Amino acid sequence: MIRFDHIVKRFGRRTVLNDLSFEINKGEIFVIVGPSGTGKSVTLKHMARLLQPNSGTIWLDNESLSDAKGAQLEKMRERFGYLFQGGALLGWMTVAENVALPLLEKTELPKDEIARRVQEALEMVGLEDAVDKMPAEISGGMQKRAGLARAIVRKPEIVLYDEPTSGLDPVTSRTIDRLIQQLNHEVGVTSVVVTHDMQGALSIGHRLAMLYEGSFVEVGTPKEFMVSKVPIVQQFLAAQYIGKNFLQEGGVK
Amino acid sequence: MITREPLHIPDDATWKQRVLLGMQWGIADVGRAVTMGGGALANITVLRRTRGRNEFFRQLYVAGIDSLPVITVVALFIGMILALQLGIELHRYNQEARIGSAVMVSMLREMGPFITGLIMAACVGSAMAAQLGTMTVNDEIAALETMSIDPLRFLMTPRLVAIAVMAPILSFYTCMIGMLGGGIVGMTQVNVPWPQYLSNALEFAEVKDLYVGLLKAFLFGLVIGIVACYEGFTTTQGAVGVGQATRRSVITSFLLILIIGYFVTRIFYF
Repeated sequence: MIRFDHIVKRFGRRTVLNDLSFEINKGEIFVIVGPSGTGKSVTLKHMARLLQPNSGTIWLDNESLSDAKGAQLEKMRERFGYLFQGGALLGWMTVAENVALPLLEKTELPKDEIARRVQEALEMVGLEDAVDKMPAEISGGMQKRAGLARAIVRKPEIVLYDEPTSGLDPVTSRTIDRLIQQLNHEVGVTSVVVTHDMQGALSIGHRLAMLYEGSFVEVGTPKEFMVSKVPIVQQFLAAQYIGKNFLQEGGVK
Repeated sequence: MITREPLHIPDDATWKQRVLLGMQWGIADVGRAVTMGGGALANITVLRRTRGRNEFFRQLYVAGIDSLPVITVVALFIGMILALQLGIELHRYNQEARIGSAVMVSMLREMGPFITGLIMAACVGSAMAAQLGTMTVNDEIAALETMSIDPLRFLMTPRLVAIAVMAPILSFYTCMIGMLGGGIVGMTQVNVPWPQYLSNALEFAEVKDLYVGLLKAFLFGLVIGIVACYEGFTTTQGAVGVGQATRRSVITSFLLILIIGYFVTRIFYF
């Protein structure tokens, strides 16, 4: 569905993505993990064409996403939902107005249908009581959940999650993880998740990829990840106290 | 993408290469800013929609009402200073009765649009650049792009049109308040009665002075809006970047106001 073909991205002299090639299949949850500053968010931003690679091509269903322009790019972007690290809500709009924005601007749906879908999205993320609150009046975690409601309100085919659980308490983190799984199981949403949270990654991901120094040093299922011999993967698992029996014990409940 | 990635000068670049690179970026900046301004104006039909119209009126309020107190005080004192200086000089030739026309012409042709432009660049343009800059570094602009909502149409068009419409209105208001200030000094310091001051002003002022002044103010408004939005959208590097974008927006607007003011005067009066 999404294919990175020898992507190179440089910021000045620093090469962030170094000849990165991989493919994400339709309907899977693909989790990108890795240390801070290795280019996980940069990878995600390329998928939404918020960044342009220095070389290489990004494909979305055999159409070049990295070369798309104007109406074609707009159409391709409409297939995505994007959850930003901080939620990226517009500060002068209420939570409900923020969530309704993509529907108001990009669809011709009647007002009552928009209100229904906004309510539905907010209920999914547990924010039905915060509809009239301004972003500044709610916590960082709630802002992130509101951002998630906005990302899914148009029922996109692909949702990109940039650190969906960072800064959240463990209970809310697991709620978000379950929501990602629920969207995948019930609606078949293809999900790309960037995270540091290995427990969540192993529990929800169909495939995981470890990004290190600009390229993937390990790509595999959670089981393959658990027995990986790659030192950085082992360090990552050990640092989060994830033992060998983590998956057998049922992962994160 | 409307936002910009940070620009880098290679560490091993010679000073000649650095100067050339700086010039290249400067020219690219002008091109991008003009394209952005054109793109925003091309989307003017967005103001026919309820959301666009509401945002336009909100921006009119921000640009107009919020800067009114500063403009009132500055215009009043500029008019008073002009009348006082001219009164002292003209008194030596027994021509103090002519301060009305001198203040009127100065305000309409130059001081009105010029003061309005500078105050709007400092109050409205800086706030606009800071707001859009903060939105950029907080990924709000990127979020709009991922929703396929054009930031130019959604954010820039209402702001640009509002400031371009409000600038001539405020310029006219500045002229009137400046005239009032001149009249107060005329009556109290230079012994020119109000009716005489006013009739002298109206006798010498031309319609051309009015429309050229309003045209200048309109152009200043456009330039302030384009510069502020461009700087906001191209902000990089967090809070420091927002501060830099705001400063650049004010400085660039000030310089362009002076340059455009000169050329408009040159075209219409020479």
